[in-house]
Amino acid sequence: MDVPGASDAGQGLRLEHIDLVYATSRGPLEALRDLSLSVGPREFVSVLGPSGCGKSSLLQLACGLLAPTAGRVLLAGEPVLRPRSEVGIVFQQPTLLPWKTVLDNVLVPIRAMGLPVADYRQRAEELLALAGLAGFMRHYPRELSGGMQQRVALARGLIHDPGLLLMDEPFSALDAMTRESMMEELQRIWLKTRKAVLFVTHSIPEAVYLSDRIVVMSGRPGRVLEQIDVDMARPRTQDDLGHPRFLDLCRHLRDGFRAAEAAA
Amino acid sequence: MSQTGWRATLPPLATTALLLLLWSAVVRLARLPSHLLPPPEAVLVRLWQGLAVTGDMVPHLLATAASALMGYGVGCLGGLLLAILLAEFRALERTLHALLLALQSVPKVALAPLVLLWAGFGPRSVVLLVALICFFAVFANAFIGLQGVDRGLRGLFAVAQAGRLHRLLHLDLPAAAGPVFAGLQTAVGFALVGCVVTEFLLGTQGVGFLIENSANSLDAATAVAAMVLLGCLGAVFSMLVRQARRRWVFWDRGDAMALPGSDGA
Repeated sequence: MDVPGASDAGQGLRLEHIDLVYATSRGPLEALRDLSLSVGPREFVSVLGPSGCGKSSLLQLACGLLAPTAGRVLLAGEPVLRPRSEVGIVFQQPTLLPWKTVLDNVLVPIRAMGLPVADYRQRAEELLALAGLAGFMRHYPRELSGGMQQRVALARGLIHDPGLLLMDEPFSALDAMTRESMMEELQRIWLKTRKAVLFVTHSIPEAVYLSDRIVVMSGRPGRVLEQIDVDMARPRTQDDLGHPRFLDLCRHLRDGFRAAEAAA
Repeated sequence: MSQTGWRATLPPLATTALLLLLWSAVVRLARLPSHLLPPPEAVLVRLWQGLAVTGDMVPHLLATAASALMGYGVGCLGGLLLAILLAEFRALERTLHALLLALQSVPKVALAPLVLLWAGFGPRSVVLLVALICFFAVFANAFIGLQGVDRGLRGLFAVAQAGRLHRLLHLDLPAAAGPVFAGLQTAVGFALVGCVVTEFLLGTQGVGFLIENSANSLDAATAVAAMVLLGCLGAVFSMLVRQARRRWVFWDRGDAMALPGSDGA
């Protein structure tokens, strides 16, 4: 088995011709159809789609919690056949353990993987400092605001130095102000750590601000409608939210959605 | 004790005193015969006598406390273990859950006569019935708690390839601690109900026996004194469980707890 701490970026993530069909009480439900996408080693890729388009299923496929009905999932060149620890996950909700301190929450994956905690304590402290939480290591989650909790969750997702970080609408539960500062924060942390990121969202500006590339998905069954490279320099700032190129991309994506909705 | 402590304890104390006065007044004014309802002073005197002078109530109190404690321990532990097994093994859940739900809706005290047949006319029967009652109270709550563990977190542990035991100890059990303690709290009241009902039937010892026996011989003062003892027993058990909860579930300040005391036993 790979030692997660030693994982180089590998060759990122590849999903090849994925079909996903759920068995439900009302018969089979086609969630994804012939979906292919890839995330390069240091690439930030957003998946943008309407709710219920199977975006979250995509993340579960990528970390091996779900098996595709057809097609292949490759992580660093190896097929994903069972849950894989080379990925980090950040959910919509912080889902921290309320009985553990912030520092211990960040170390949860290390303990769960049976790795020596002492080797990772310093890294946990560095990640928390990077997330602006240096003074809160001994606090309990309920003493933190929603945005701070989500930053703890981000540190937890990065603690074992995963080759790939999966993020499932991580800012959607936050208020608008916190969201914007979290976008900046995430970009800053990403520029420092340079993980491959697969970021699921239904916010167009969020996707444009953060991504190298945006994968636009259709409604159910989810397919790839188009892929767009975001050719804007980094680090992007709040001012870039008003940049003509930024607004162009947003408009283009919005029109694309409207067209897809009209076609559906 | 702090000022807020007094502010919390004073009103209930005052209410209790007021009720005792009212009780005393009613008994006197209505000239109730003491074999129907004795005045509170008579009950207090009887308590003092039974606990400190002749000590005739002590063995009954100890017998009930011991049976309740043992049955509670066995039943709660069993309920928790079964909940864990059912939450861990889907096949087991599919086979057993419906049956357990059906059994849960049977009032367990209705089993008391059968329990006497099975376990014999001794304290073992009391323990068995109490254990049965507590078992279901804790099982139901613990199972709901374990089912409610966040799916994302379970995924996180799965992706980290955590062992089953690790996940159980570091995620499932702490996450379910709130509901488990709610079950443990409910079980306290139920345990005393189980004790008293079985002791009624047994007719050998215990506070339940004391109540039944003294009521039969028109000794209402003893019966009421015995009920006071039951109340105190319930309050002490209940307080211990709440202390344990405060200590082990320190992160959950929500007070979704049953009322202290013995559920109208």
